[in-house]
This record gives sequence, structure tokens and C-alpha cells, in this order.
Amino acid sequence: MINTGISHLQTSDQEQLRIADKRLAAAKTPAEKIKQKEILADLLEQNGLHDESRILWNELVQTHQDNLYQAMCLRKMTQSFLNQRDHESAAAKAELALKMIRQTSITSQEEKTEYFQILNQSCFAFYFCLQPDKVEACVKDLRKLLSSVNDVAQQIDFYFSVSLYFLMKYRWYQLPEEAVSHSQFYMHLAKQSDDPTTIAMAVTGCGFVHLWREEITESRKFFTEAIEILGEKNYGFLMICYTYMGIGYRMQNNVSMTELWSKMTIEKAEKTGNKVYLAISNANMSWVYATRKNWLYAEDYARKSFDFLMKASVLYYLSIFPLLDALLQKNNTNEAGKYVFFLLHPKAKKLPLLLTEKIKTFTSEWANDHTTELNELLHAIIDEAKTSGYY
Amino acid sequence: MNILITILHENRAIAETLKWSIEFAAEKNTICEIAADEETVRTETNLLLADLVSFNSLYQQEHQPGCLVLLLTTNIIDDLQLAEALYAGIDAIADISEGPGIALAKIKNLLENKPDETQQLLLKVIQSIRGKDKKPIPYTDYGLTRKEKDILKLLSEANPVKQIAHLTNTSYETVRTHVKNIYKKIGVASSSEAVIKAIKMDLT
Repeated sequence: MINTGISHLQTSDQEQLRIADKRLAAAKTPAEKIKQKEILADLLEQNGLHDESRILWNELVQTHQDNLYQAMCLRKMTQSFLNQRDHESAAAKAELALKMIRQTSITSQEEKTEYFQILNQSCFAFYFCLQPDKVEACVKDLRKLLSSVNDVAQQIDFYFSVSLYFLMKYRWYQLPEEAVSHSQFYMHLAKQSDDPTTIAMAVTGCGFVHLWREEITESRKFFTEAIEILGEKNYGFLMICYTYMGIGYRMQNNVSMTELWSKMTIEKAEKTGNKVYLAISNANMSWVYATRKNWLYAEDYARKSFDFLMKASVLYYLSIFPLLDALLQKNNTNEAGKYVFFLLHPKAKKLPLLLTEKIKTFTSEWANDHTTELNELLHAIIDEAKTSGYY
Repeated sequence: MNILITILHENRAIAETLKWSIEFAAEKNTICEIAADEETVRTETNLLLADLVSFNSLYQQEHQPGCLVLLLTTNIIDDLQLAEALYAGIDAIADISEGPGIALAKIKNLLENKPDETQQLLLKVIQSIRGKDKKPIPYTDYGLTRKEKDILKLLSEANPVKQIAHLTNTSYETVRTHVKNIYKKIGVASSSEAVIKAIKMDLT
């Protein structure tokens, strides 16, 4: 089955897959077939053949009646969707995995460990699907199970899930002290592992916490550390660090450094086809052009990035403020109203109170079609955004 | 199963930004579309979001879908307007002058079949009308049939048309026909007037 679609892989990987495939074909007993199928499914997943891997896990799920085993297969399929960045399908599968594992008694160590892993994975899927209630429910259950888990890697996963919970609960704004101490403990634990990506992830997590507490200089130390750990090995992760370095400089009104980091991110994002970080960096570039009063470019970059971010990221405000300024230059307050209204979305990143109040005042006038003061109110929003560092 | 949310709003800019708001963070099976006018609201719609003007014009025509309806407001509407809208089949009301938050929460509740405070509001309106009209007037039945009296009684008990259809095991359209006949017989032009008349007739 795997002779097609593997030609892009390295010879050794191709060979490994062929061997696994042959072993599956040669397996005689049902137990042996299951074992070989599991090995092949994992190998396919590791080599980026997600669809093929899920086909095998789906076959395995259907041939078993055991809830624990079925839950494990569903977890593998969830992971496969996550690896493919199909978060919605991952969340749907995670729901099924949770339902299945909850049909067991969750008393044996095996069941508890499986449940723990499913909960961690579910947190990740629900986080990216912006489902805070579900993330919170998972973290609540994870906390109950933590004492029964001894494996350090799984404990690290737990702290990662709790980090996501904090970010979501506070809507990426003014995270509490508790989040700082939690992220430090997460980093401490991760540093006990040998995996640079795990360590970089935890260090980046600390950077996030400080960034969204508006402790920009502190956050920069962590992002720099993560970049050093990764070297040039993991483009996906590097892009995250580069992007948030850019956002930090933008919050500090440092035009040249924002431009530098944004351009570096764009270069990597274009190479890897990562649309989210490309859009965020384009939003940063629109800010760069807006601060230089190059309105034509500012509007163009802002619109392009907004069209993508409005569907994909809670950080779409990064495109909106330069766009609002460009629209203000053209006295187009009616169109600006659409973007201002969208800034009040309850699931997007929270903005400072004073800025939110000004946004609400504008929105109320705009929604009621009271046009006389819109220009002035929009001006007030932009001024407040500049003062607070969210422009 | 897919969920189709349709937005019918006289202000295109509000319709667009609501569409973004719903799509952002909506689940995969949710489809959101903007209807250009009353006639383009599809019958498959599961939830209709409309402003008062658009909803009234939809209701007056014969295009109203038998789906959940969320009324979008920007300012306070008076009790009679509210009663009117509620009887016409609105399931919830959301003020959008402070952004999409309230509307999104109401959409979630409606799709999850959670009770909305709108019905309680309707009861309050009726109670306030009852309070103002304590004097009973001499009973006249205006030549209403048994079925029509039953429907008028249910109307006066704060049941929207959809609910009446369910309670009387009758189709939505048939109930609407009965309601129109009732209006004609008792000489009223709106559901709120009909409710006041029913209260005066003391149909209990």
C-alpha cells in the first residue's frame, strides 16, 4: 500500500516503511497483525503521511470493542490531525476520544494514563478552536489526575495545557502572577528533558506570559533564549519566536526593529508556507508603513493580513489599528466601523480597558447610524491605541 | 449536520461584521450567509438574525422561515414593539450596540436550546398590560370559533406562534391563518392589540 506517495522521503525512511508494510503483510495471527499495523501507522505519521496513518488507526478502531483501545486509536487520530494543523477535525476527534475513555472506569493506571494523554491533546485542539470552556474542563480533570502520573514528559504536557488555559482565560491580556510562577515551573521541568524543542517551547511560553503582561524586555530575554536553543533547526518554532519579537518591538514603538524581525519572519514563513505568521508579520509591516505615514502600503498590507487573520488568529487587532488609521486619513469612518465592531469580539485578544471603552463608544454611535462624531471618536481610539502600545 | 445562520439586516456593514464575528470561532459545521433581501432568506435556515425593520417586512410578507429568530437591536424598543416582535415568532433579542458579544452568546444559547430571558420579558409585558387593564368589559365572543378562542387564549399567555402551533398540534401556517382571522373578527391590526383584547375578554 505504501509504494506510492513516499518518493519524496529519504531512502532510509522509505526503506523503513517498506519493511513495516512487508511485516504487516506477513503477519499471521490477529494479534501480530494489530501490532504491525500500529507500527506502520506510527511510521506513516512520523513521515508526514497523515491521511494514510489515520486510515490504519480507523481500521484498528473498528476491529476492536475495547473502550480503552478505541480511545487510544482516537487519540492517535487526533494527534494526526493536530500534526496536519487541521484543528477543527482534531477537536472533533478529541471529543470522541474523551467520550470513549470516559466509558471506562478510569481506575487502572493504564486507563488513567490514557485519559491524561487524551486530555492534554484535547486542550491543544480546543485551544486552537477557541473553545475556552472545554479547555477549562480538561484542565480541571488533568489537575485531578496529575498525582497519578509519574512520567516527566506527560507532566510537561500538563503544564503546557495549563499555560494554554491561562492564555485563554485571560484572553492574552494582563496574565496574573500565578501564570508567571506556573510558566517558570513549566520551564524548569522542561529543562530536565533532553529535547531542545520541548525546552524551547517552555521558554517561549515564559516569553508569552511576559509579553502579554506588557513586560516586553523580560519577554525578549526568553524569546532570544528559545532562538538560541533552536539554532536554525526548527523553522516552525523559530517563526513563532521571531514573530513575537516583532510584536514586542512594535509595542515599544521601535519601527526599525519591528521591521527587521517582521521581514525575517516573512522570509521563513514564505519558505514554509506558514500563512498565520506571514499574515501577522504583514500586519506588523502595515504598522511600520503607517508610522512612516505611507498610507497606501499601510492599507494594502493591513487589508491583506486582516483577510487571513480574521479567520485564523485572535491577534487580528494587529492589522486593524493601522487599517483604521489609513481609513481615517480618507474619512471613511463607516467602513472603519466594521473593524472597530469586530475588535469587541469576546473571543479575541482583550485590549486595555480605556481603549475598549473608546471602542464601545464609537461602536454604539456607528451601529445607531449616528455619523456626526464618528471621525472624532475614531481619532480618539487611534490616540488611545498609540498611548497604550496596542496601535 | 450543518447549521445555516442567515443575517438579514438593513445595514450591510453591520451584517458583514456580524458574519465575520460568527465565522471567527464558529464550529466547522456552521455556515453563515447574508441575505440580500427578505426573498432570499432560504427555507433551510436554522437561525435567522434580523433587525426589527427587516423582520417586520419579512413577517408581513409570506416568506418567514419556520426557524429560530434572533432580533438584533441597537436601541431600546418599547414594550408594544417588543410584544409585537415576540408574538411574531422571535426567540431572543440581542443589543449589538456594544459589539458582537451579546449576539454571539444568544446564538450559542439558541443553538443549544437553552432558555432565553426573552420569554420572561414577554410575560412581564403581558403582566404590565394586565395591570393596566383591570376592569373587565362585557363579554363578547366576536363570533370566534372554539379553535380561534383557544389560539387567542394561548396568545394571551405569552406563547409565540411557533409555540402555539406546537401546543395545538397544528402547522405554523395554519396557526397564522387562524391569527389573521382572529384579527379580522375582533377588529385589531396587531398581536399586541389582540392580546389586550383577549385579556379584556377574559378567556381564562
